[in-house]
Amino acid sequence: MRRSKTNYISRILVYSILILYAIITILPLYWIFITTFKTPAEAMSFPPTLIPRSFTFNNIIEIFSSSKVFGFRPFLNSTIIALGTALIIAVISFLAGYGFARYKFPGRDVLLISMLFINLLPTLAVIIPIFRLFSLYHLYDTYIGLILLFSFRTAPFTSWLMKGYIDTIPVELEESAMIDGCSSRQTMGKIIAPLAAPGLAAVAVLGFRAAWNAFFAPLILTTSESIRPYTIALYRFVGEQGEVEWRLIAAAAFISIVPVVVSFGIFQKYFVTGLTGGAIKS
Amino acid sequence: MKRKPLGGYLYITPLLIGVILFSVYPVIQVIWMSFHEISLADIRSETFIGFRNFKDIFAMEDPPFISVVWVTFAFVGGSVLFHVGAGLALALLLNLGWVKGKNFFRNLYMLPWITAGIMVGYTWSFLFEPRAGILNYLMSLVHLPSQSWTADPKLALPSIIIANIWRGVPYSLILETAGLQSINMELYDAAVVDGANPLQILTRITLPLVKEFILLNLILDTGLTFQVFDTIFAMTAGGPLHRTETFSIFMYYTAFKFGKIGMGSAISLLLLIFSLIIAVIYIKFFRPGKERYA
Amino acid sequence: MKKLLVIFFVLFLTAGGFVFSGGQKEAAAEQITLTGLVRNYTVKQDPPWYSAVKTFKIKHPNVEIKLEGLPYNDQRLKVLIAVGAGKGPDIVQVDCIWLGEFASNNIIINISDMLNADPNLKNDYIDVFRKSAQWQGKDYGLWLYTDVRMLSWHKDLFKKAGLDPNAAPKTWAELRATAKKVNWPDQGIYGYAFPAFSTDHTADRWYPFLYMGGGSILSKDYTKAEFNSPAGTAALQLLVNLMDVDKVSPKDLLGIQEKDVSNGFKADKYSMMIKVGEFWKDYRKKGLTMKQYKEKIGVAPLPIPEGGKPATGSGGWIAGITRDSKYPKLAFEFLKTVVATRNMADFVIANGNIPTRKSMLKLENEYLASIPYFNVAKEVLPTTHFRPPIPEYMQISAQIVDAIQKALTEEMTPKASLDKAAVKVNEILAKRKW
Repeated sequence: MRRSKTNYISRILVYSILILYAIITILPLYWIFITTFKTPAEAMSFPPTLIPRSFTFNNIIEIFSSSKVFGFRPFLNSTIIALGTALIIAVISFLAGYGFARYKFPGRDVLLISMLFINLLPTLAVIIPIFRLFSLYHLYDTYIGLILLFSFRTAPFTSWLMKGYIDTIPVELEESAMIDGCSSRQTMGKIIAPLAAPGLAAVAVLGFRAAWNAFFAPLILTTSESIRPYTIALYRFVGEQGEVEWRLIAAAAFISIVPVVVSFGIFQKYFVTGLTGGAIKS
Repeated sequence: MKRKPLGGYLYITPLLIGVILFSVYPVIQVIWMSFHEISLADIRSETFIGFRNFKDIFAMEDPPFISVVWVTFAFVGGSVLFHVGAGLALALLLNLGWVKGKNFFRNLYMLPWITAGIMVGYTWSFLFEPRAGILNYLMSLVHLPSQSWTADPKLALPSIIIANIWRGVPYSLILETAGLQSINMELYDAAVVDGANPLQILTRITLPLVKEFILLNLILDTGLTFQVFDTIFAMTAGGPLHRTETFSIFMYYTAFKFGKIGMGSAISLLLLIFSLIIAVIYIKFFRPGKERYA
Repeated sequence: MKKLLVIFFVLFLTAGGFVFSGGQKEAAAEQITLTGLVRNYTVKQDPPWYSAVKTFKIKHPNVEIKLEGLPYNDQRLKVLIAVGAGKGPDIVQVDCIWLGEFASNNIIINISDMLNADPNLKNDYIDVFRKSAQWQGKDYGLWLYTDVRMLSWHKDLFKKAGLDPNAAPKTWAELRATAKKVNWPDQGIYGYAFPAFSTDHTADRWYPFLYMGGGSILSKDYTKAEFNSPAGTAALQLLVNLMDVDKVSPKDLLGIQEKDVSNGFKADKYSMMIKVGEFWKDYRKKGLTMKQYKEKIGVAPLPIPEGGKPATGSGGWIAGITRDSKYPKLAFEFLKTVVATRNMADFVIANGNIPTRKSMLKLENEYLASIPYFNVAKEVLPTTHFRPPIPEYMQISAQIVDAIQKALTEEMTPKASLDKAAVKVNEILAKRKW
């Protein structure tokens, strides 16, 4: 490896681009972050202060106290919906991925390509029939309705990812287990599932993210405070308030970003491999 | 290895049931509903009206259909171009052997993508806010005239595109990183031995090898950007003067504000057709053939 | 294979087990339950609903009343969906502009017979209000409360400009002249604010100026557009003059939601504003007394054009009974308890709204003592107008908002943009089913 020829100027250039883009990325989030911990007076002041002079947890406390903003419930709702989605997606994608990877059945390739088509089909375009379906069959304004919708709208893509991931696991491992007397289902559970864990984690995080951040579907498919996720609660809060309090919006945004950051943080090392390593291997 | 081939069906059954219920059936319904008049206030009854919904959409003046198409394509085009361009550029830089703190940068760059679209919308409307927003404040520091951004018919569309670019770059970055990492390092080493300069390595080796990833990225991202609703809804809600009214906003208003469920379905069907065209392009160029995916 | 299938089912069922659905529970054997979908802020206090429940229970101890409070947009959608699925509540709160949509689709039922059986109540409604709760001559609901559009201004900013802080502009010419004096764009303070975003507020706050010149939105039978009359052109020209000629209303109003315009006013960014009057509630929440409020904010009737007549517009809420109600008579009985003079007056006072019945207006002294702008509201109430309560109203409003925005951005002249919108509105009305 002889890569030391790179001169100073290009190093400086590359680092400045990376740092510049890091600033572009972080500036809006930095703004959310500092506003979350500003006092009302400082949050309202103009010109805005880039380095906060005050520090308070009151905004976060206000978000969670239901008498003032919207309380804990919308976050609980989002958590239930997102975890439910992550679980169902992981199970369905694993089973389908395994079926697609290890069995050659008539119509398999057609089905695989159909999954790609279906992945490109916007949820937005099918929301009206789903809305009608939900309102006629009592799935409207329920957790299960949203969980099933998110799961099955994301599953074609994640199944495809899982298939690619399971493809990378040598068949020989299963074969030797089978010779030892394991059934095909036993090998799936005992051999493949542990090996596919990074892929499963990536798929579950994808499902979690899709459900946690969803806005359009719950906007149309929920109304009750006991069901609606925090994205809708925040939208309603902004719309209903006599005055827009950016410090509270910022605090809600800050709270909402934390769980996804944490789950991405935990699964980060699996994530890129799980998400793409299986999908397209060269 | 011997497996009963039909066993495969069993494993994919849950997926298929879900896909039929939540994708196939709704698509059939959308097609059927778009030829009917259905009102939100009377959702159980429908009247067949042939192509009238489509005629009404094409004849619409506020907003003109062509404006919705233009706004959608400008939004998608602008976003995707920058997503893929910046994503690829950053992925290339982060793939350089000597760059330190790769993981730090990659994780940092991911943040916008894991933020909810509605939050991105609020965050950017906060930055763009004409009189208390930080953007105009920063511009005033360098003596540039302040702008009304999302309230200005000319600047509203660029404003929402900027917010969406910010959000979507990380997605391309992941895909392109995966693409670059799939390249065998020995190829580079061989090229260096042969005396190729970095530019030659980029254009002769790297880009041709990640071409498929770029294409995949373009198509997946186009599909995703077509659907963006929350960011636009939070920032401009389609205004001013429909200058930011994309298909998604247009459909929402038609179906759920004006209560025309049938016409909303017709708009959805048009959106479906656009998506289908993209999917066909995708399949055509990307060719997930047997040899690669079997 | 069977085992695998069983696993799927168990999985689905456990996922389903998490779900506690939002549906209504069946009433116990002897017990009757009435359900209601109402606005969220009305269930955060005792009157009008919970106080009425207490009174009602004395006479009907076997009746349980369950209320769910919803935000504005959800209110309409959830009522339409619940009734569409045959699961509607008994009672719903209806924005007066939804009346036609709800009535013509039989979402809410005709209550004429029940109302006619109670002449005291029937005749107690101020005529314009009773009419605006009617669809094709039949009563579909009982008015709850209303509001009127008025001019609000910052007395401090008037003083700063050397103006009499208690003298409001009375004519359009005075409005323009005053707005120029209280306009300091370099300090971020503008003379006059009105909503111009893409929502009905924009049209709604323009209508009063249209009415003043004798104009109206639609013909009396709601079948033709009339807003493109000379009165309409003049009213729109006024907004264009304020924004584009005098530059006392900033152009960015086009991108700011109505509530944010109000926030701007409260943050002293606009000297004057057209408003329904609920600033008071926000200031009261911040601990301002009525006296302090009156020293800070002035409220007056809207300025009128030369030779015009005073006019304003109203919105507000109506209570209706859905077609799914098994006990419409009982529901009506309950609604009568809700709109009872004392009960509704308590709500109006708590919320700063305006009453809709003659007997309620007799409690004038109470309102005057607790609503700082009530004297002005009372003065303008007889000149108020309503938006047409027809199913097509939201579509018509969208056309009018477009016309206003096109004129404000100077893409078209007020006349041309209104004429164009009128053609569109006539097309919409030609397709009506009633």
